[in-house]
Amino acid sequence: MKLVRLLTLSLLLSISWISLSQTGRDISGVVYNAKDSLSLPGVNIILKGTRAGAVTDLNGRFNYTVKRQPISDQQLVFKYIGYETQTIQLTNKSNFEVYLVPKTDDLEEVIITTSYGTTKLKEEAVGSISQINDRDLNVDQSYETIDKMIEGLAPGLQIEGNSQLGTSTRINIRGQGTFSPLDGNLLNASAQPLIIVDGVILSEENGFDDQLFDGGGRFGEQFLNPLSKIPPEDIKSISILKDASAVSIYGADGANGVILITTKKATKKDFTLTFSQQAGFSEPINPIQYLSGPQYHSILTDYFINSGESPEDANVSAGSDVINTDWFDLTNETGVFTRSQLNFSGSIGELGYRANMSYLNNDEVQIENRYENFRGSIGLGYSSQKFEANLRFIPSYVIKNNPNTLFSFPLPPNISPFDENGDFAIIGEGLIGNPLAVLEQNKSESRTLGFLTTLNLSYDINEQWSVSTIIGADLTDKKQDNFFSGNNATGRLSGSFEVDGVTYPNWGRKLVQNRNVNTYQFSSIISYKNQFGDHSVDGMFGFEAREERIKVERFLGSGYIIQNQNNGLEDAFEVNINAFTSENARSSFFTQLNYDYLKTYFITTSLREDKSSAFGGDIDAAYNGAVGFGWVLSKEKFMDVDAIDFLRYRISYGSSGNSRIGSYRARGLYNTNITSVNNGYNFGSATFPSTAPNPDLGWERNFKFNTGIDFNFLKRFKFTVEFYRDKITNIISSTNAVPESGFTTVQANTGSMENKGLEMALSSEIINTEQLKFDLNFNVSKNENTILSIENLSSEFSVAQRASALRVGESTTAIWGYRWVGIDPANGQNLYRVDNQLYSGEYVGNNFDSSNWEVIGDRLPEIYGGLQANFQLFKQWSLSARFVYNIGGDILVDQDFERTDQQVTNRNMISNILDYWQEPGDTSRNSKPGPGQPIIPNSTKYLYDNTHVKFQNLRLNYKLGDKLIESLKLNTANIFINADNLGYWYREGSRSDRNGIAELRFQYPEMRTITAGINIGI
Amino acid sequence: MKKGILFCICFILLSCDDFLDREPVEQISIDQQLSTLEGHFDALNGAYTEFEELYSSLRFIYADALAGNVKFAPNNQGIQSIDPRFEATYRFEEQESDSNFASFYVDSYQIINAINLILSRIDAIDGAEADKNLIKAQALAMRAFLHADLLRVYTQPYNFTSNASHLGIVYNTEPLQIGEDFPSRLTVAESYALVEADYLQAIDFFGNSSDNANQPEVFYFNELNTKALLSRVYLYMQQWDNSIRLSSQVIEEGPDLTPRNLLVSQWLDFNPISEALLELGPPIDQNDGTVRSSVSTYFQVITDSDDNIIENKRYSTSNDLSSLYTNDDIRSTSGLLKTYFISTQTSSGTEELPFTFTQKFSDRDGAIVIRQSEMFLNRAEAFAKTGRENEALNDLNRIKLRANPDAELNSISGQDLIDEILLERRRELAFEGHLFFDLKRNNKDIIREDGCTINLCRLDYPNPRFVLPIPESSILINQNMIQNEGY
Repeated sequence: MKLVRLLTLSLLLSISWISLSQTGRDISGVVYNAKDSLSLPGVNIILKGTRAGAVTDLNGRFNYTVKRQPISDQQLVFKYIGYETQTIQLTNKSNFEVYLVPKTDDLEEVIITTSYGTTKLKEEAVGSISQINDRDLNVDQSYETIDKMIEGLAPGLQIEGNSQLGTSTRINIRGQGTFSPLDGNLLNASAQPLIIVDGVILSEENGFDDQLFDGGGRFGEQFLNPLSKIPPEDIKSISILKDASAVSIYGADGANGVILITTKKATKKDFTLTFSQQAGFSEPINPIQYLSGPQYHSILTDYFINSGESPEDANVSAGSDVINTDWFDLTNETGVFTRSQLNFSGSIGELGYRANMSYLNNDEVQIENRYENFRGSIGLGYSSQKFEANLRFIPSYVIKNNPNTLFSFPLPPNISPFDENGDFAIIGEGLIGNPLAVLEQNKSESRTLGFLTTLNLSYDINEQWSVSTIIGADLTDKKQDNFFSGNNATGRLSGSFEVDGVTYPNWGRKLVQNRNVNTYQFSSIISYKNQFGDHSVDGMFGFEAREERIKVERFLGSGYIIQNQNNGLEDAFEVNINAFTSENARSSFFTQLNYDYLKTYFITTSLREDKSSAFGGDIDAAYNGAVGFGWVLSKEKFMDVDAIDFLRYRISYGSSGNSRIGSYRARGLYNTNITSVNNGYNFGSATFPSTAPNPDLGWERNFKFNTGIDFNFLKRFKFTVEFYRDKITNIISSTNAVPESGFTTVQANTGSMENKGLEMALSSEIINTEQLKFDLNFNVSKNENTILSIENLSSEFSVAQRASALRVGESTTAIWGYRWVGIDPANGQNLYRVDNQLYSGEYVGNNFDSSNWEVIGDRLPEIYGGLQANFQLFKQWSLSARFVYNIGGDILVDQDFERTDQQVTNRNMISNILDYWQEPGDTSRNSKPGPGQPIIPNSTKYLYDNTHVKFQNLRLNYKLGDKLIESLKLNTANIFINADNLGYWYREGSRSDRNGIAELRFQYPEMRTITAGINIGI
Repeated sequence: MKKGILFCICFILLSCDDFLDREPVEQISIDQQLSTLEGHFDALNGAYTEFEELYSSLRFIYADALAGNVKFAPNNQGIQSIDPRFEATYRFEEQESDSNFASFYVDSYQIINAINLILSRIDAIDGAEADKNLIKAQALAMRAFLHADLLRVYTQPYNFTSNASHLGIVYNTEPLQIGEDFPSRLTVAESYALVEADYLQAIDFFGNSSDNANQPEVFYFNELNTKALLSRVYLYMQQWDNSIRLSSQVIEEGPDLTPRNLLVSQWLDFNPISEALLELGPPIDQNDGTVRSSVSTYFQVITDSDDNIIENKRYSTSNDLSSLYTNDDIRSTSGLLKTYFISTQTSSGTEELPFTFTQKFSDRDGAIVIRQSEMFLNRAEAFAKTGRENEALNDLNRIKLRANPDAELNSISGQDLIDEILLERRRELAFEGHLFFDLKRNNKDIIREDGCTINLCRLDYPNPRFVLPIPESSILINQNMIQNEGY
């Protein structure tokens, strides 16, 4: 390296010597580092438009003679690796002092450490914080929310996605933060991280501990992803706070980690406008393969023979052997994705403004299903030397239509969707109807209006002291509107009603569900920073108050004379109305103090006091705090090695809590509206106990230990490794109560568990030249969960379908059940191994219960992570590819897809059912179809290894050449192609014509979406 | 600016306690609910509301449908099948993990808890003693009833073991501490003793209470019907003399038997019949007077204006029962029963077949719990079992002759007399929730003939299937719970 530099230097010096002989202006100067004012050797100085120039010497000096005419118009370009390039016009000067500004690369990166306006250089931040900046974020991905776009980008961050648009993902930061609920309707403390946008906590969309409002069942509310409010293109950075020294400042709500989203500020600058348009297509990948009509007929014939019918009768009972209806094909088509975006920014006087509007329309693969998202943001910013104000207003509107939902219940393929008249055939009953009729006649729509408003004010009193205030509001108004038409089976309920002497069947159901969320937050912070020689100190003290009010309402109208999608509630014969309101308030004080000596030894401490209405007034405040140390070894003399750019050791310990359990949980409540009629018994007013009291309910605590090393070397590699151990105590769960107590569930502190793991991240600039850049980012995380103790929990009760149990020493995400051995070749019955003995399915079903279960898998992966590669060629072409992977982790597939018992008579099955035992000696997967077989849903038979690598995203971008852009009078212009979900590799492959993990992982397949688009900036 | 922020901080600090004090909107905390006498009345009324819902649920048809009074009429597709809600019960195939009556068990204890909350707090509040006594008396009577009902369903009869030392039920006399209390089952003798004690205490409190202002009286527990219920409990406890004493008191103090000429019309009308002692009123909407649900949901046949059947509620009367009535018996098709022809799938295609339904319950009727006729039958049985056969015959004939003045009056004695009294009980109290329990406590077999489409139509006493399984939720969570034999 040095040799090359010397050679260049001598070469250039000789050039300049030659040029002395010609007429021109002699110029000279010194180049400094703008940050520390030290001189910079080896800086290239090039006369713009030529290849001629000079290089600074060891003292940063340079000399050159400019001969190109007119001399005053010439420009000098100063270039140095790691620094911003600077261009200076000669005018009439001949002596120059140039300060080059270092590029803010990752090492110098500014990390957002709290939502209270504090930032640190990455090398000075002690907490474990992974930050994803806008330049690392591909917002051209066809996903509707930011969480799905960042999968695989940060260690310790795991996104459990799903294939339904607009619904919430599960975000796990360093494993699952609370016990898995053992019963579908039980609600535990929130397992989601705290998401804070510009200082304001985003309200979660969750169910309540109330039968009607827990989101379960056919008439339940569909929860939407609160992140659909946030326009991804507006995001400046996403910080993921993981360890105690990072999250303790969030006290009682920080246990599951914190995600800070910072949106772009409006600053004083020239007017710019950019516009982008993107469009493409989606198609399902790895759809489940079901039986064809004739295959189904043959299986069903066997079923009836085995239930005692003669082959002739069975053939008739099995229905048509010619009709071959592919329900999936009939209810799906190619999806169309479009997104338009316009944003502009500029300033009026001292006031900067920024506005962004976007419209996303995903006309889904499922016919009639559509997801539309209008989002915008308006930002106003003012800053003077001492005062800064930023106002952001982020409105959003999401319309989700999904009448086409019957994918989870595949109908038999040998029935026709149409009757002889060509009308929709009446198929199914209850939940299920003719899917084609359902998607046309039913209605399922939700409209969500969101307003997120934040105002950040800060004022520097003097060099040391400053004050700031954050005021925010997060408002949501959602209306879900369902209609189940009586023209198909989904709306045909039993009973009748009478209007004007005419009796009608009790058909048609209309369900309107409203959710209204008002969240207000106020924080006020005073901060201090100072330097005393080699000692630096900074700190803050703040107060925060937050209030959240959620009101949900439910109107169920039944009995319609006319079965029309647009029927109102007023057309119903009877309307039932219910409401539930949850109010939460919290007030907190917090403080953080940072100290360092010589920028080598760092200490950070934080403390927070929280009081919450969730625990009633009697429970004491919760105190959480943390302390962290950092030691930059690379600044020590003994570590002065060329290859090491930066080496640091970090360690932290502290606590945080989880109070997000819904309101009034500890009180013991009476319901005042206990019937759907307007009064209680015999017209009297009536109240009835609804929630069990638990006066001892206390705060859930999460003690986090973290230690790590940051190591940057050879100027191009950055490596971080961290070990953590989170111990979660007093875990709040809704647990089953002894039924003789008069309550079925109670909120209690039910035990403790730990998450421990290892995270590694490596980023490297493998090639970094003008013409070619190649960088690679790789991360890997391992998490292990162990339940340490169980208290107050009366049992391990869980229904087999959920296959979960809580037992000390095991993981809370473990899947419990029986080991399936195979089919007994002698008689075709399922065989299971329990306590090292073989038993038939019938014996297991009759004699064993959950106490005989063993761990057969785990829902969460052992190891997960991502890999992202970016290429840039000739400054114009760039290509990035991202892979995410899971090692370990299992999925228990719904056994209903593969049942050989009476289920087979009313629904289609997957093609795997074709492999069934027929005569002694056969080894196959399934018993022969027949009635009355024992049902064991949670066994290894239906368990699949989810180890996979997913090609998550590929993006190719072409930036139009400077000349072309100039001739088009544009500022920037680029064209891109973006492909999401390109494909999977699974360790457990699937046989051809049969389904494996790839197909069965999602009941409804994921989409592969390929889009192309253009961005233009003026 | 600075001042503004300081102001905000101060303001919020000062109002901090109010800020954090959030009361539920649609709900109310236990402390607040039970801080006044009025709150206790509302809570008691809530217990009645849930009690009515429980009693008019599947529990209402249990004893009749299980023991052969019911035959399932065809569904809308014309197929004769057992009501799926009741199928496993009917087949004696109930399971711990999937019991049709799991919610009956759980809901009973919910109401018991609601009552115990009232009883545990009422002494601490301000209010007139007589008003408090009115609340306590009703609460105790309801608590005794609910436990007695659980005993009927979940335990073998009193004489299953010689001193009734077999498994009884969990009897709660105060609210349980969740997570700390894991109650055990008492013996049958102990359980019944507590039922008796609660009823006796209720009668005491009624004696010193203010009048119940709510009307009609028969919709609420009172001194008279509590005595009537106690007379029934003594029958189950085989304390014949006590049963005679209590039923005699009720017969003396209570209403006359509804006379023959009014009986059918009173049953058809939605008001309680004149001899009713306790009936649970159906939930009626205050605004439009519609009834949300009633026990008629099992027995009703809905027809349009042209008398075409739109829907039948499937619990029709079996021949086993209807053949017990003579033609001129007012309780037969010449009075309380009505026949409809319903499309039925048979092996030879669709046919219109006759099905007979009781008309005791119209669509606005309450759920009858106890009435004066039962007092005569209780007393007759107790007389017969203590050898006072003439008095037994007298009481029996009061019921027989009202239904049919031309009834043949045999001079029978011994077991024949007891059997005839039980038969009359089946005739008179049909569809009011007695048959199965009466057979069980008399150690008789269950025999179902007409309408029984399954293999197991008969269950001989004794058999573990004479009781239902304790639901899984209790077995798994309550470490002290013992399951009934055979489940």
